[in-house]
Amino acid sequence: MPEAQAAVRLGLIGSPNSGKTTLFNALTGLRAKVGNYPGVTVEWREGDMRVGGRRLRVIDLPGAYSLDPVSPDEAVVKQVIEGALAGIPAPDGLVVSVDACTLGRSLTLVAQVLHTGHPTCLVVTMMDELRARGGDLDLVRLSDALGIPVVGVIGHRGIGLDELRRLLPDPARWSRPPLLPPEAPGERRAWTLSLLSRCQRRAPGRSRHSEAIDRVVLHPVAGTLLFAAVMVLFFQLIFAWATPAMDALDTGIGALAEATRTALPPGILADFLCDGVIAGVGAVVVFLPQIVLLFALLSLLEDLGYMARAAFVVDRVMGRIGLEGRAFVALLSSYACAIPGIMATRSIPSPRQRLVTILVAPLMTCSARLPVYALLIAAFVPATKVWGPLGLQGLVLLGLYLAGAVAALLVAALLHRSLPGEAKQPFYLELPPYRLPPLKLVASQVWTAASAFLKRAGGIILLTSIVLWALLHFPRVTPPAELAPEQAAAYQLEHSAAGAIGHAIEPLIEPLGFDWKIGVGLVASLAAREVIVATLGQMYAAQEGDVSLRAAIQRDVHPDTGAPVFTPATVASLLVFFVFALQCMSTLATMRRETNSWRWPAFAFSYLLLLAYGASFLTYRIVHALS
Amino acid sequence: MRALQAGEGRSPSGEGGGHGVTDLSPLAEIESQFHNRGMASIPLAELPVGACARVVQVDTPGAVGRRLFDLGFQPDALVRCRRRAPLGDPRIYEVADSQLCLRQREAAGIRVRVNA
Repeated sequence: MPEAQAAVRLGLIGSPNSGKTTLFNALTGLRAKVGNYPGVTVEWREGDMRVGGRRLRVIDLPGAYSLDPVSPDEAVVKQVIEGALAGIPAPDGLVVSVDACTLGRSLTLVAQVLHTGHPTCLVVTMMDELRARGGDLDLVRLSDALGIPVVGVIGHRGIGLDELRRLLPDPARWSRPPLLPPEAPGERRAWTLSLLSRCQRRAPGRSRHSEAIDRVVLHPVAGTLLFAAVMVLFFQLIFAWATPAMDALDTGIGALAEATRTALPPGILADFLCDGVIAGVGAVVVFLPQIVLLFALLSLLEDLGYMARAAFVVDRVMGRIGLEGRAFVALLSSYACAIPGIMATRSIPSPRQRLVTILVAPLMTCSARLPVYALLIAAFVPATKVWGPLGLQGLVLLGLYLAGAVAALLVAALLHRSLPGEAKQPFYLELPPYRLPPLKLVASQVWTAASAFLKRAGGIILLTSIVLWALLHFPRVTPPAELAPEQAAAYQLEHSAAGAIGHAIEPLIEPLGFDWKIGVGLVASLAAREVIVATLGQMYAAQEGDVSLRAAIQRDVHPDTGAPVFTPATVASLLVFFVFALQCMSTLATMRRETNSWRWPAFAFSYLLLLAYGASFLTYRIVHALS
Repeated sequence: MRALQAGEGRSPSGEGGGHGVTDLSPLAEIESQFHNRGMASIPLAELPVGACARVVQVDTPGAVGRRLFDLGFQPDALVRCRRRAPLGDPRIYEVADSQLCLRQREAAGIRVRVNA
């Protein structure tokens, strides 16, 4: 068959937990293409399959309980079916996947799909589970009663897939219902009941193992403890267990940069490749261990059925600030790093709550702030004991963490109230029976997340790294010959574009107690917050290592007045600035990727900058007046 | 008691139609009280944990109400309150062969009749 032949387009529809994703993976393998629908944050997936030389394109539509939309996800389903989205032609046929155990409810969706007039076939999943729970269903009779093809499939075991593959290429030849289901709600219920009796359906009993597990997982005390334990696991995973892999990547990138430097003649090309390109690639791949580990655990718990239970357990607490239980995982993950945290918001079904969570995630104290806090606290906060083993330094650090968390909760509550759009989306959550997810399903979700990050955010991070490198290294100047190498580097930095920016913004940051050198550090820290430490190191022509830098910034005085640059007020102000400011282009790039627009990263950057500026200004004035 | 409810539930509303405009408001009040007590219909949010009921109707208007309907809260459907979260809200209901978690706010908009 010629490659040019237009592919048959099939839309895959189904409610959440209907086995739709497993079915999609079984049909298309791991060759799915991922993107966003134009203008909305809804993710779009499609994959190709071949049947007897014919090419079929399967579009995995977002999970929907009904075609009567209450969320942007569901609105997209309707628009795609109607061919109402520019650039996405209407599918040639619709494949509806329903869970055999909840067939009664799913018939609503089936009836709505039949009313669209598209050729439709029905895939009934989880027939094995239905029978195991004492239920039954005659698929042949169901097909007769509906008037459309019906195939029973057990996706992860491949049962029924051959039959489905033979059916899919010819949607035009699928049987059509002789009569459409009634539209009035009352009549539709009667239609549903008669259909269920015609296909001799016996309702399943409760899943016995799910009941047993839920007695613990949903128990007021045991369930809460288990939730806490799972959250500790998440935290540990991203904070500690990802570190060896991240360190290894870091070392590898460093070694690559060194090898490149020795292989090339010293000069601008070597600098560009080592400090610009290779360091930029390093800034991208260093996030992969966290993303892979987080998504492995997240998909496992989601597909296992635990995430819905966790959301149930903490819903009341999160409801206070207008968020739902699943936002908890995202915010907690952001303590390690906002990037996996923001990506974890994908498990939040409501787009509005997802957006609020994304916008406040950068306020959680990520691990990149630690080197900055550590440097400033060690240099300027006395190591006095306050109470028992508690020292003043530890208390200041704790205070900084708390300030971020409290700000995140307050901003979330505020955004929830003030963002445009429907504030009162209904909250409902299905607790699916516990199901052991096939490893392939988990792997495919990890793969999707990691490749999406590399493709969509990686490019932006790499580009910004190179731009920042250029700002710090251009224009080139020739330092006076008598300067030592470290001082020559400082001289170059002062005369670079970044140095000029530092001088230019000095009047703006002077009310916060910052001089132009801190300004250069703030510009450089856009690459990643901890970069300010290395940049200050260069500015102060310090040797490698914190200790000498600590001494250098303690000693530094204003050239005109002789007053110290880092007064207690300046240090407090700088710490507070780092609590709030979104000094991280990787976070901005990830936000852009997840919200499909520059609007929200721009909004987050601006509101956090204003917050940081205001808080730093107040801190500077107050500490200045006190000391 | 049951036989009385079915017959009496309708009559006040029939009388209300025949009366003057001024009488409508108090009569409507009596009617609604009578109707509620007669059918023993309560908001789903007040259904005790472990209790079983039949859905009378979804009172919530608009898309939210239609969604609750589509999720299985349809007239005459059997619903059981299974569990409450540690702080009382949300709760888990068994309806249409699935376990659904609703906040009290949503459950308040669904009227159910408790089985005697």
